[in-house]
Amino acid sequence: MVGEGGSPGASKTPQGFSEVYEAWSPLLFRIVYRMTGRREAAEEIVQEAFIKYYERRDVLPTDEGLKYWLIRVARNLTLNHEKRRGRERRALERVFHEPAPRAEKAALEKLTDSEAVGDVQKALLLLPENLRTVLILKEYTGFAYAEIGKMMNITEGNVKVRVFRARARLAQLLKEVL
Amino acid sequence: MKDIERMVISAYEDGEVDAPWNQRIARRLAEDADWATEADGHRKIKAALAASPEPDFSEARRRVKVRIEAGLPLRTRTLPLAWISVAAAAVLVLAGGGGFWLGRQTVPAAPSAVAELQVQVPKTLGLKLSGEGQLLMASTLQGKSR
Repeated sequence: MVGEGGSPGASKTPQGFSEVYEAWSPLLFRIVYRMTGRREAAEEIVQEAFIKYYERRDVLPTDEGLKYWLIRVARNLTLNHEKRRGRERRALERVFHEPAPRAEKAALEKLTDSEAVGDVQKALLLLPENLRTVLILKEYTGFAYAEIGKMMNITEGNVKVRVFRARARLAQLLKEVL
Repeated sequence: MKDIERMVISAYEDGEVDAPWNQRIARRLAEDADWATEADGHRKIKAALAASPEPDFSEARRRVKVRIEAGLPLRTRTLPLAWISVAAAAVLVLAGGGGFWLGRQTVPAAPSAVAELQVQVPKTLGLKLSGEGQLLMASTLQGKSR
């Protein structure tokens, strides 16, 4: 049974496992869903992220740093998950002698499988990961460029460039592909 | 329009440009049609992203919390291909080993039945046994039957 690591109300920042979970899990679900386009993946990855948090909670920061840590962990887990999924898909394509998808739209169908996702979400999945993550953090979490920079270990200026490029690419995709 | 100008407009639309530059940008947007069109494009993308539907995760959040608190394993963990291969190999080995074991269980029963017949043959019909093995088996079993 998971115990509470701190006393509720002792600080403005969430302390115990339950408080931390209630405070940050909606944000993580949203980020991971936007990065993968699949709700099952979001559930699995958020669970793994909070298990990691639970295992290391004694040595983790209890302030805003914890939020950044959780987001970084969720992002890394998502990238690993997507890499593994890509390897499995390619292996299955080889087994069944399916040609590699040529057009972006075909790639998109592979990415999203049969899950019903909106056109904008589909286009989002076609962005390179380094642009996609920054745009998701900006648009769906409301973080400032400086905060996103801290989470991603990049400069504020770099965040500005990536957000701009992501929007420009997204506009192009929404016009041309979908 | 230069990329640097487009980037400034993008940052302005995100509220990431401080005074006094934000006021200067606002004035430029009011005066310059290209700038206004660019800003409108960014606002449309932001609006499209905001309007993009999202599942309700309240039930999933509850499930995950319950599982973590109970220390349960992941619900939907996909097995890596390597593990699938190992599992397939294990099934083959077990199937082979099981077949061998079953074979070993059934093989000794057959010769005894045959031997019983061979024992009976010389006794009842007076036929000669041919071969050393048959003689040995027959003599052994004859001794046993007495």
